[in-house]
Amino acid sequence: MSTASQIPRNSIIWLLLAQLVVILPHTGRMSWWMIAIWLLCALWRMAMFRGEASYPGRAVRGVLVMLGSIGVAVSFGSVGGLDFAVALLILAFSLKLIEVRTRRDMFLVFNLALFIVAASFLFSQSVFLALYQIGSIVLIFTAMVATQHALHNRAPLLSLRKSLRLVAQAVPVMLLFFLVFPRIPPIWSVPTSGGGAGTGMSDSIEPGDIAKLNQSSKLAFVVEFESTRPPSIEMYWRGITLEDFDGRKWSAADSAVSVGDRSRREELTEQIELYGVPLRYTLIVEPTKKNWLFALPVAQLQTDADRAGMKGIFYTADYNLRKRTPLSERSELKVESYLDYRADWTLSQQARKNNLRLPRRSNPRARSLAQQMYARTGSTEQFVLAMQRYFLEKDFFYTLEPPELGRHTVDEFVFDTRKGYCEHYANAFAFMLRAAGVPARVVVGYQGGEVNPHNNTLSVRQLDAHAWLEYWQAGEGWLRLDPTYTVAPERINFGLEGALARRPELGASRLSPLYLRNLAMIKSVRLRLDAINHSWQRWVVNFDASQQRRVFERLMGSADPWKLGLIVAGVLGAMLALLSFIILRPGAKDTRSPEHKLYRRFCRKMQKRLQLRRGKAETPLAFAARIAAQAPQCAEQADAITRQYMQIAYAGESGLKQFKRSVERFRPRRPAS
Amino acid sequence: MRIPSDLYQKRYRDRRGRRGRIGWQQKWRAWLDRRIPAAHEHHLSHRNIFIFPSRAGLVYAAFIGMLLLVAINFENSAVYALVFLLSGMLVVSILHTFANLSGLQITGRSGESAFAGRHAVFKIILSAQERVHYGVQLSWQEVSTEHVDVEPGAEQRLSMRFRTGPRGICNPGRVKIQTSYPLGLVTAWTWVDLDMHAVVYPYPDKNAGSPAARSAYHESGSREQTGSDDFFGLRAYVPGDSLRSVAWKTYARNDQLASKQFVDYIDNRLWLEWNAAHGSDEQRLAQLCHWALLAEGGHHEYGLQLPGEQLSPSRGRRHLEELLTRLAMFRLPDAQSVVMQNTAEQDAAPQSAAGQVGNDTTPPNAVEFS
Repeated sequence: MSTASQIPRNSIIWLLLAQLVVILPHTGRMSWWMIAIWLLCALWRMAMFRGEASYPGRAVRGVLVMLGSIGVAVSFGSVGGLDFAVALLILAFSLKLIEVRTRRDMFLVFNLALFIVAASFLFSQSVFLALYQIGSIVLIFTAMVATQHALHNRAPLLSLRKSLRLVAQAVPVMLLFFLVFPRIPPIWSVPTSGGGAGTGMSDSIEPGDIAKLNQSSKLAFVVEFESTRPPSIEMYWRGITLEDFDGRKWSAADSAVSVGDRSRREELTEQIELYGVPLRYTLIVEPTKKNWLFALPVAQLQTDADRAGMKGIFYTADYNLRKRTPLSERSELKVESYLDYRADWTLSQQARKNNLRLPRRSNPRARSLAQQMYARTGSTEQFVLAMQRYFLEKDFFYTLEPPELGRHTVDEFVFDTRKGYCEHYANAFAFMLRAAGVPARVVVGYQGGEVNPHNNTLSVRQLDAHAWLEYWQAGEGWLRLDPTYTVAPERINFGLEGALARRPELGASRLSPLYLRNLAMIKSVRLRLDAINHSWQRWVVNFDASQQRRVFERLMGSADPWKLGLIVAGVLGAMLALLSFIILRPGAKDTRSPEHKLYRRFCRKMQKRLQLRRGKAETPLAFAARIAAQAPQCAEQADAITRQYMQIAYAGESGLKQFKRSVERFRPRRPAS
Repeated sequence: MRIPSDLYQKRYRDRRGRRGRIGWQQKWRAWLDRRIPAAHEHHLSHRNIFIFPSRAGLVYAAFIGMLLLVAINFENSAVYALVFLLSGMLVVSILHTFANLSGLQITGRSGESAFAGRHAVFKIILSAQERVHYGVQLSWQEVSTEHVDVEPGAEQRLSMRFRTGPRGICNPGRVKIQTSYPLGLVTAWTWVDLDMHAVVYPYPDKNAGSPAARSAYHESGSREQTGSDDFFGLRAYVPGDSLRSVAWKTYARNDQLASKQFVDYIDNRLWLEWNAAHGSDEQRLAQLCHWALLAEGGHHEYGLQLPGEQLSPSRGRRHLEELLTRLAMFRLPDAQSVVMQNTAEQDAAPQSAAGQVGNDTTPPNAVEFS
């Protein structure tokens, strides 16, 4: 091996550092032994570096590769998954470390490193990861620059500086390409990113399910309103209607989906009337791994363009939005909602039957109570009012930690415990309505949300999950009823967090993260970070073909490809010209001598304090003479500094330290007046 | 003795490769000669710098393409951004690599002479004007030097050991100055002909025996030495002179003792003759070369006789150089011009080939030969 291909030592150090930084975000997905392998290789390389070890033989490498591959196959089970691929990459990346001999070999390692950086984005695209990975990229390129240095270059920071400059100069090119590069639909289907099941709503609830969900402050979706935001009490983000009741569990009926499998809402049913102006907003939905979408009823997609763009979204018979495939990526929807509507004012026999069906022998006490009350009141309207009055008078209590319920959940809740959470109330109300002969169904979704004042968006989290119900009244159709509002209006008016803040006895010691979230300072920081992350999601992560088109239209009126091409070519040309100027400009580096810098500092001081500016062609001596004439009070000092400067700069004398001291101590005095 | 196949030596161009390839190469070389004519000094700028992605750069580009596929298929904006950042790096690094070579000054010094097939050493000086040039490499004959940093004010002296072909004048032709700094993805290079020459002597034939055994003594030009053959004259008697040498007749005449002086007329000047050698032209030159080196090691003056030319006997390093140069140039078509050029160079620049070797205290070739 000739010396011309040897790897400079600085480069190895930088490479080790870059590897550590690149592997770190993946540690959660890796097994401990993979990190051990990397550590082993790193230590080995260090030993080689110090001359204490030599390159491993073919046999040793073979064994390591074999063991590693088997290990990865065993640990990551399914061959071909994303986790598996990344694990293999990292393994190769680690083992390559003890194999590289020449400058050329290093490039393979660099490319692997960049690939592993890219792979991390398949798991998360948060702004924080992106910032972190910019750091990784700088480090990788630092190692690359160090590889090109002379073998015994002793200035490791030189490479870092160069790398930072390169990355900074490449960023404008990146931004331009990011903006204009056409977004092509996927060429072939790929395995979706790993990361386990998502948290979120399920299509059946039992008492306690929502309370469990409320423990999580995980984001469900973010809403950006185009006009004014409706009050919290109007914000029922409707997702799933549950019609089937087995005495304990409410679950979604299959019919709701199969009947309403339509891609245009108008085809669904004639029994819907929408009034007023729709409320327009954008939903940015987190990847929940579920099909449901949550929106204010009655919602439809805003434009035909979006309808085409958002393939796989359809309307269900119970006028919800739904996606054909589970949400595996964060996606964006432009939606309009008619809050004022009338739906299904006549009910088919089948639907009526479905919404009245109760298990025969469940909850006998609640059933008879409901029947008595209905007989007393005589009408659905009056009956609902009476029920609400009953729940208020009987001292029902809203709590996050309701007692466990046995077989007859409604009976036990209504007559014994009287402590419950939203799903308990919805459960009891829906049961009793059905028992009295009023068609009713449970609805799950989210209620309210948190307004972020920094960007005026509404974040809806799992802790906003809520259950309410709808009952049917002849001529009116389905009407929303939220018994929780009757019992604990602050839950609806201020949200769960607001309710907890006002009534700590709601007893959520287990919900301490909820409290933590609300400490003033933490909250302000959190909201700001949320705002940043939201803009990132909106403008970077969700930047797709339609958003691209919108940006073009806003910037230049139209997305005419010719015009666009010309503008892009122009901008790119200008950018490259500017970059060329910056990079190729002779003496681009600050090669000024230290005495020159110090002298300039002196000049700045004169200018700042006495408004005496040295002319462009004025020699130091001429300037000193002018100082003597115009500011005699500091003539002596200025003269001394000038003389020192001249001696060092032109006579080649030493005494830089002294010169530095006199410049630093120099305080131009103002004329005594 | 191996004769390297040297792409840039014009004399050998026609012997190699197929005709078509030669035609292409000739065109390319002619273009290059017009574009970057030979000169002792080259200042690198956009006029003489070439730039192209290196092999690593091509792999990197392919890798970016692969990442782009990932970005498209996963519809992943962050990977898109990464792809564009990496492409941007490639674009920016083209400018940086060019800037790293631009402004570099290359000066060539004519090389030291060598025997055919051995290495002639040429000195090449890199100097910077205003910026530091990092990781610059010099390559020739599939050899590359280590990466060097050239800083303003500090010259980098590189010596280039160039394996020579047959005897004659060796012109290393174009050397490559290249850099891949900062990222190694793009290589900027230049081919410059530094107009350097070195004389390549015939490789000595060590089996040629000794020159004395084969060369004739000549009468012209003589040296005296005390002997017994011919009477030379009288001188005053010095005690210790043999009594047999006393000129008794003179003593009888004027009563003074005188000694008779006799000398032997011996011609010790050695002529290395073309006719004394045998075999083909090249074999004869190799033998003459060997004898010249032996003669320089001996105590006699030596001269050279070749058909149509002659070098009068003398001794010393300069004489040896000139003699070997005559051998090197013998019957070469461009010998006349080269010798003239060489003398001109010698007058103009004392460091050039012959002068430099003549001034050197340690001869580089003697080591190789002995």
